Amino acid sequence: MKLTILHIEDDQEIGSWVSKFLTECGYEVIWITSGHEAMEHMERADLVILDIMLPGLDGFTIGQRLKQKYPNTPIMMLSARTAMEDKLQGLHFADDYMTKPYHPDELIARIQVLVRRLGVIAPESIEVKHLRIDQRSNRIFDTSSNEDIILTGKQFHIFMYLLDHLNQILTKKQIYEAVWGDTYIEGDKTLMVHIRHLREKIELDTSNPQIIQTIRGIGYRMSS
Amino acid sequence: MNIIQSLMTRYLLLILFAFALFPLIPAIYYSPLLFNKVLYDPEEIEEIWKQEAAELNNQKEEVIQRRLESIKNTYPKAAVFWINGSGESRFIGNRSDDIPEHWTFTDSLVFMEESKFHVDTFLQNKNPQNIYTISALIGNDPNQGVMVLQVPITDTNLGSISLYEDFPFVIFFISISGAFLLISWFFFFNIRKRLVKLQFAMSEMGDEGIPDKVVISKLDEIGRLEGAFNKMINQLKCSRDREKKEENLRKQLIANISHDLRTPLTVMRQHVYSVKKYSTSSAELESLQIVENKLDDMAKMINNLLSYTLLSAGKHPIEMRDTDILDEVRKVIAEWYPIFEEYTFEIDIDLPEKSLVWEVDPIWFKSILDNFIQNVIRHARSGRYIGIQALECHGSTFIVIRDKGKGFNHESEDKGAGIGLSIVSLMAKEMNLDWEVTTSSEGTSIYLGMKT
Repeated sequence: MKLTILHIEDDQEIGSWVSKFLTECGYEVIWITSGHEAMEHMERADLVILDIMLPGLDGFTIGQRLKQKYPNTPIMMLSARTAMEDKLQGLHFADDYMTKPYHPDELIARIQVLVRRLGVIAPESIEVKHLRIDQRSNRIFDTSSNEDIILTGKQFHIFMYLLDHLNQILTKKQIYEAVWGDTYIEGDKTLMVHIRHLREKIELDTSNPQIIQTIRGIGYRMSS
Repeated sequence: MNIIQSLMTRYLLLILFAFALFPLIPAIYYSPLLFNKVLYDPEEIEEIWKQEAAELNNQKEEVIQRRLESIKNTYPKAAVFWINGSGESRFIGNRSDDIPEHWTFTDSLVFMEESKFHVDTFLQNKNPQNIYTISALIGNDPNQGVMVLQVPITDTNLGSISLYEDFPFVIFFISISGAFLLISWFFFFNIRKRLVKLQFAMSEMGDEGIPDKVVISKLDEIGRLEGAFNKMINQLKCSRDREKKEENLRKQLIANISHDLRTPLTVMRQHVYSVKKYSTSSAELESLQIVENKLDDMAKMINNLLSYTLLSAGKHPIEMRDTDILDEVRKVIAEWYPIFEEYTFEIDIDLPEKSLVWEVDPIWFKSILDNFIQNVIRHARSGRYIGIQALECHGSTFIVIRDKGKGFNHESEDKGAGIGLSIVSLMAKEMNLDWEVTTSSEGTSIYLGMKT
C-alpha cells in the first residue's frame, strides 16, 4: 500500500520538485500551496510535510489545528526558518523539524523514521542481519538456525527500542530511561548485563557482536 | 517657579531671622527692665547734690531737713541723711543701722573708705560695691555739716547683672538658639530626606530595567529636579520602546533575509540532486559534490550569521538549568558518530561513568560542541582522529576535544571569517564557561570548562 503524504508548500519550484521526488520514491503526494484546503485532504494523508511561511494562515497555526484534529498523523515541518524559537515552537506539535536547504536523501530517511516510529504503516517484518522481526506478532526469528528467539520482557523492550532507532547511536541513559522508565544513575551495570544476555540470544558470535554494537564511552547501536 | 516656594528664599528667610533674632534676644529679655525701671544717673545726681549743698549754705536745720526730704521724694530709692556741724546724724526717712548717731573722726574715715567708688573692682566684678554714695559739704563749709545720698548701684545706670549669674537670661538665650538650630535642622533634614528619596528612586530599577517615576511633592528646586528626572524616565522609556521596535524589526529582517536566502539554496540543492542522479562522469559528480558542499557551507554561514546577530543583540533565548554535561556530550557524539565513521576517523572517547552537572542552556551547550566538532571535520579532517575526553585538573573538570589536524595556524581552504568561534565565545561567556585552545602543527586541543 502506498503511503500518502500531504505536502503544504507555497513555493512552486520547491513544491513541484519535492512532489515529483517523493512520487519517484514510491509515495503518493498531495501538494497544496496554502493551508486553507489542508483539512479536506487530511482523511487521506498518512503524513504531513508542512512549510511555515505560507500565504494566509502560517504553518504553526495550520499544524496545530491539524494535530488537534488528527493527533495520530505525523507532521514534519520543512522550513527555511532556522531560529531556535521557531524550531521549539514547531516541535510543540510537530513530530520532526527539518530546515532548508535539506538533503533529499535525509528527507526520505526522516520520513521513514517517522513512519516507523509512529507506526503509521507497520511493515509486516523487518530484517536485521540474520534476524527477521515480525512486528505484528512480536516474533523474532533467527534465519540462520530457523528458530524463534525467546526474550525476557526487558530484553524484548531493549531490542524493540534499538530497532525503533535502527542505525542510531543511543546513550545508555536514553535506553535505560526508555525501557525502565526510571532515572539512570551513571555507572549502573543493569543495562550492560541485560545487553550481554540479549546478545547471547541474538548474536552469532558474542565476542564480535554484529547486531548490537557497543560504541565505547557512549552507548549502543543496532545496525541493519 | 514661585519665588516664595524657592528653597533659596526660605533659606535666606531663615538666615535673616537668625540675624535679627540674636541682637533681639537681650533686647526682648531686658525690655521690661528698660521700660519699667527708672535708673538714676550718678553724675546727674552728684551735680544736683553739690548744687543743693551749696544752696543750703548757712540755712537752718529745718530748712535743710525739708529740702533733703523733697530731694528724697524725687529719688525714693535713695537713702538720704546729713550730719550737722556737731557730728550728729539727721535722717530723712528711716534710719539706717550702719550709720552712727554721733560721728567720731574714725567713723568718718571708715565711712569714707567704705563708700569710695572703686571703678576697677566694679568693672572686673570682683565683689563689687552695692551702694553708690554721694556726699557734699553744706555751703562748702565743714562746720555746717555734710549731706549724704546713697543709691543702690542696681538702681543706677552703673548697675549691671553678670551674664553668668543671670540664669533666666541664659535659659532664654539657649532656648531661642535651640529653636533656631531645630528649625535649621528641620529645614535641611527635609531637603536631605527628599534628596535621599530621589537618589533611591534613581538607583532602584523598575520592571523594564528603568527606574520608576517619582511623585512631585513640592514645586521648589528639588521638585523641579524630580520633574526633570520624571521627564528623563519618560524619554528613556520612549527610547527603550523605540529600541525594542528597531530590534524586533532587525531580528525580523535578518530572519527574513535568512529565509529568503535559504529558499533558492533549497531549489539549487534539489536540482543538483537531480543532475547528480543522472550523471555518469566522475568529473561531473565531483563538481556536483563541490557545489553541494558549498551549498551546505552557505546554509551554515547564513545560520551562523543569524545566530551571531541574535546573540550579539542578546535576543537568542537562553534557559540556564542544571545539566548533566557528560550525557549531553555523549548525545552530541552519537549524532556525529556516523560522520566520523564516514571519514574513517579514529574515535577516542574517554568519558567517566559519573554525573557532571553544570548550569548551562543544553541547546547552547550543544551548539558549542557542534561548532567545535564541525571545525574538526572541516579543517582537521586530514588527521583522521577525534578524541573527546573529560579531564580533571586542579579540582575542575574540562571537556577536551582533540584532533590531529594541521592546527589553527594552518590555512585551511574551508577557513571562514571565524563567525562560528565568535558564536562559541558569546555563548560561553553568557553561560559562564571558559574555553582555551592549544594548537600546533601536530593537532589542536580545545578545553571547555566552568569559569572559576
